[in-house]
Amino acid sequence: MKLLKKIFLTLLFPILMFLAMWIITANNPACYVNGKYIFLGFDLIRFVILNACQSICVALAIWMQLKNGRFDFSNGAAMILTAIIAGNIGLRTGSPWITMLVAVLVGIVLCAFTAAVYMLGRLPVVIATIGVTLLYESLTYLIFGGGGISTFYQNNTLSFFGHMPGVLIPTALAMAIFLFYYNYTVTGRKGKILANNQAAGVNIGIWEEANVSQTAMFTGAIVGLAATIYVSQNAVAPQASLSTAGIMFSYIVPVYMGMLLGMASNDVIGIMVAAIGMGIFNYGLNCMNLGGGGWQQIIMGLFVMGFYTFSAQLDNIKKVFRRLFKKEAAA
Amino acid sequence: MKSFKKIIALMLACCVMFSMTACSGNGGNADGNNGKHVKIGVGLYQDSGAAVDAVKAYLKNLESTLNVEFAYTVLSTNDEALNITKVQELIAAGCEGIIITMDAGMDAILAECRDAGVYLAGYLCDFDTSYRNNYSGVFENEYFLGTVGDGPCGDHTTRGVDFFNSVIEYNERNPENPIRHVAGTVFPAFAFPYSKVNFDQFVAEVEKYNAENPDKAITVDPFNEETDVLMFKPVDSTYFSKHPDIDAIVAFNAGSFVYPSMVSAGVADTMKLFAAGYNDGDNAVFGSKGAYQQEMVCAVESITYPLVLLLNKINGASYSDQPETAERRDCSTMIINSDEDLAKFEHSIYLTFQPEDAFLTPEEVLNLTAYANPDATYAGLCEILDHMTIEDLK
Repeated sequence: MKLLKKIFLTLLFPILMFLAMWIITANNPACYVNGKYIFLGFDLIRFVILNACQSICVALAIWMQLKNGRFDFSNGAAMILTAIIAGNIGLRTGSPWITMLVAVLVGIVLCAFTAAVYMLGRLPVVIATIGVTLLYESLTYLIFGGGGISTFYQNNTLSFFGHMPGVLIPTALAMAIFLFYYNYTVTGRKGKILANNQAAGVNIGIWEEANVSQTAMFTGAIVGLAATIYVSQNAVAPQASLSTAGIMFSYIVPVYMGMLLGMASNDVIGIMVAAIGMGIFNYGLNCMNLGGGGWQQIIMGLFVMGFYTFSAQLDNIKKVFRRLFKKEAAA
Repeated sequence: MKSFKKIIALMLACCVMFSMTACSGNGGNADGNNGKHVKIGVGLYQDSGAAVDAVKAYLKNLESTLNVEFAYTVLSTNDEALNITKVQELIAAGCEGIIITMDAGMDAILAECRDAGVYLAGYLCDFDTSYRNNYSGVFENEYFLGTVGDGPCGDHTTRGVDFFNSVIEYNERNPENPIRHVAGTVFPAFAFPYSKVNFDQFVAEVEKYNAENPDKAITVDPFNEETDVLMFKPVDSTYFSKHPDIDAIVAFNAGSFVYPSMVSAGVADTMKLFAAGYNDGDNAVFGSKGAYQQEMVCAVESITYPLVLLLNKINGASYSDQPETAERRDCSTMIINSDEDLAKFEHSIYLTFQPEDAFLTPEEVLNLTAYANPDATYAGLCEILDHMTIEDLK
């Protein structure tokens, strides 16, 4: 019974989102083309899965650092640089598997470098990661003639991990790596203490440097998997002026939503259902012609703000309900 | 000690003399026919990609013959403040002439140029907003020398007709699998006012064709203001649901705004794409190899027009037939709509980055200037812009 309740609560958000968008789009004339209702269809499933997989990987990389009390701005730049390197190597070898392998290795190296700068430089994490972000962004202009990688996603064989069902492989690997690190490694478990209070954690004897370096390795692997999907779905251009932070932030919504939605299960599943729910939301907006420009940002912003407000006030809401029920019982 | 000081003083004097002599080498050249040494700033619309690499390769090759060096920057479509800053940076870097690709912030930019005595000219931009709303402020400004558009400028546009011709050529080559149903995409009118005009031109051509060939009629989906105007973002995931059963998309914008969505939607193998612009790697999925069936670009060598105008002005020379006010000139377009065209295009400087593949040699460019060739004319300079089509490729 408890398990069923957990499953129900976990799936509640995407189900409610689907039902809400179904009702809204069914009453919107823009969602009918030649009399045919376009919201319910195979495109919905494909859009949600493809976007959710990319979101899940990036969100897990962000969350892995955040869970240890650090916000790593360089994840976006590491992903773009990894995508360019792995994509170009993949293009030369003609193998998506080699691309993924190279991406994971490069991701690990780049994130390890970020960790080294943070530890050896003894800099605040924000300063260290922004500095590294600028460095990685500048490298995107220097490697492979500054041309980025534009042809990888066009090749059906190479972009295997950008489409169904291949896209599920790096996503599943990223989730497995995350779960393994937090449930089967000592540093992963200690990271929870650092996240709650970094100073207290260090004071009771947690060696932060071990946590930083090991978390960076696992984050790097996930960044590599995210880069594999990214380069398989997009042309990747060189980036500058912290634009990679913008790319990273565009995937951050599922991170914070997942924290709440994961309360009934765990944060990985929380992030997954949040990504799926937001995918349905975005597809519905697209159907209503609200997918581009300012309206999408306004609606998305209001929704996310409302959701965060609700989650932040959840304890107070519970208290209000408890009082109400107590009063009713007393009456 | 005294003699040591003297030696030091002598060495310092030698250093100063050496540096002055070295600097004076930048002041001009002995024979005088290739002008004084000039630094030209070039504000491009992006900082990487085939077109950027090609234009840099072309200009690099001109440096020694024209006694000129180039400094590059990147401008913005809509950020006027950024454009002004970038022009200020080029002026501060010692540029005496600047070529820009954006028509944003022109009043302030020209004020900066006037204060610094620097001349300005346009490339790949018809300056349509300035032409329509601020003609006297820009085109009659003594510091603005003229511009060459990214194809036919303003009302001269023929892109709708060009797209239509490419579709018909495709159908003639593929009678067993012709295109009978298309939808379009355009950029917003506030930034690209002729994008929708081109689409309407295409529709008008199709209607004429359908009237004459009812058995081969082509259906164009009604223009949908919500889905077909791309706000500089790729077409959204529902585009294909909203335009069901289409055989092709006519994209009056770069294919990079459409093709990734076609791949994601799994229609890249069945649907065709006729696009403006060319992006790195498009040739891998062009013609018989993929979805792209048309792309169009202006030759990078068209930058010769603003460059020569700037060099003339800086060197105090002028053509006998020089117009009184600055002009915007049409540029011929390379329309690539077959495997054969692509094969030619792949041997142009646009893709090879080799100066020897350019339409013009450095000597030919020098010969177009009024100071090196007294017989050179403005008409001659303009004429080169008419001969940069795919057919003109060597």
